[in-house]
Amino acid sequence: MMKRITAILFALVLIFSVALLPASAAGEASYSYRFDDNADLLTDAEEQALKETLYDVCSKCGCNIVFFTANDLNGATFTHTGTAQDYTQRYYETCCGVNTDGVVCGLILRDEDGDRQVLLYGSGKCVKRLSDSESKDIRDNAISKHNPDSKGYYEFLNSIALGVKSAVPPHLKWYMLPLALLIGFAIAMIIMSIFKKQLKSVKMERGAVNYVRQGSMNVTASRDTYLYSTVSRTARPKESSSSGSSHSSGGGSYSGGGSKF
Amino acid sequence: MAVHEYKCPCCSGALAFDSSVQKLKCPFCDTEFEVEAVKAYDEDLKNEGTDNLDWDTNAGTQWTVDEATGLRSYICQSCGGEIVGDENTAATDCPFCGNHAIIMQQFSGALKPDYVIPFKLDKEAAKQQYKQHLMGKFLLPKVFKDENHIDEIKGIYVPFWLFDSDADADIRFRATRTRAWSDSNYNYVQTSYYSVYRAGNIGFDHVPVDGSTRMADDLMESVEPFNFSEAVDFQTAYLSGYFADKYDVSAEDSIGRANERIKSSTEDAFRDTVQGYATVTPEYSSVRLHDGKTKYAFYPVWLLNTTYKDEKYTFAMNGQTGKFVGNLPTDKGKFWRFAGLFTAIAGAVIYAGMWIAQLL
Repeated sequence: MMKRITAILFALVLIFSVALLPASAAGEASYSYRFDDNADLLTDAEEQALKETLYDVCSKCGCNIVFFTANDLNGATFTHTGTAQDYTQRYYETCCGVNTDGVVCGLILRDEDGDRQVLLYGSGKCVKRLSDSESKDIRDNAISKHNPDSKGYYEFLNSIALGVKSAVPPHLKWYMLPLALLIGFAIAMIIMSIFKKQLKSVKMERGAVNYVRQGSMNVTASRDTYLYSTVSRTARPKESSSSGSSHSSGGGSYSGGGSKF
Repeated sequence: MAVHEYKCPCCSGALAFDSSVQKLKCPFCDTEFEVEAVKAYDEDLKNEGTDNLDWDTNAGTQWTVDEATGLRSYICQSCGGEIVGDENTAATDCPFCGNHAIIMQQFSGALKPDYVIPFKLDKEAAKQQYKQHLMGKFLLPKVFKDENHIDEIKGIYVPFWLFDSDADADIRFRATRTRAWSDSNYNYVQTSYYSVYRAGNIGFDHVPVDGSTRMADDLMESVEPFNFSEAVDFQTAYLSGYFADKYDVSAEDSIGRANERIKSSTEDAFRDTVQGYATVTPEYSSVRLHDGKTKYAFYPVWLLNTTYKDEKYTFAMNGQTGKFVGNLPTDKGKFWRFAGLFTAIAGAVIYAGMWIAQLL
């Protein structure tokens, strides 16, 4: 029995080790960062400072980081449907490819409605890491506390970059460790109960199956009568990630959204 | 009261039944005898007229009324020693000379068992099975295993009531079948309900119920099954060398337990004829017994006793099949140490899994 338990635990470790390989391999992939100030909102010094921040964010998060500004949705070298969302997502795909791991932040001064809008999306593994709510929190925080009208676009974009830096790296909620230990305790109790059961061999017999006279059973009547049926219906789960909704307007899948301000 | 022992025709020693050769064997001169031969020889000895070795003595005090109702004393025919037993003792050993004594009065009249399954396995086999029983028990205290001591091993013929009966049954089940399908928006599950009726009959032979209050019922049922095909007509010679109790639970009082077991197995047997359903739940059952007969039999059980931390542990081995049972103590310290270790390992693996899910 002990050998069996050890084998199960060993197998679990092996499975997770094998599962770790692609993760570590993914960790070795090269990611890039870029900032395209198409709307020319930052000075050269601010641009340089922001790029340094983005480099830091790229290293910390282990994914592509693309920040850009644009006056409007015209003049793009790629095709898009004419919305700020699609413009931002196609912009990212032009730079880094479809469904690659990365975060894109677009600041568009005039969107399809003529409004100023900031958009923040996660792609690839960042769909899970940057949930819709986290994207919204980062955007709202930048708009309320680092409004470009009073504090300038550098501080605004820098605050978004720092928000991405704290949200996107792999992280677990505080309760995950106690939860893991609780599940571990339940598993341990199941294993120990198997061991404990070995020590108990005395119990009342349930029936007298060992004393049925051979060939004595005779079924004289047998009826199976249909009574009624019920049908239950449950909505099919839509394809989504576990930590954030994923949406796309034609290319890859993204989490996040945009805020007009 | 008279006790009876079978004497060796060679040396007059008290014979004992040897389960390994299924014969009576003299422990003094090692001569083996067929049961029937000894029985016939014993009859001859009785016809010769025997000496009256009983005598009265005024020594000692009178038993009180309570003692007298519970205790019986017998005189050993080998050494004249007094054997004290209780009202149910049917076979025992003389504490003075060790000879095996059978209390004939316990088998007189209606109390005589119909059948006996002779011991097939001896004390050594019981010891061996006990050692085997301790093997591979992870939570068994090491001290218990290492000391491996047994306070007492006794071969006992346990009185059982055997119930034969035919059972007519009418049973109704509620059963369901499920069918699942999907479209682009929904998953559907259709559950169809059925009333399933079965009627018929089934027979049971020799369903045993422990007839002794001194034997724990769960312990005696745990050493089952006994193979009745090896039972023989009762002869006291088979008891020689073993202990035996007469029943102190009447057949009438044992009927309830027999009914429970027969009803349960009848329902299970008809439940097994209901196939092709996702769930089957009994709704109604009527089991009617007829042609019921009861027999009284002695079944062979080895009992082993040991103590650990002032607690008594009793083990039992089926003297016919060798099935060995008995609850063992738990090493509580080891239990919590390993529970903690497994919690840490499983918790760490799960936590690592959570991280991996983040990384992928």
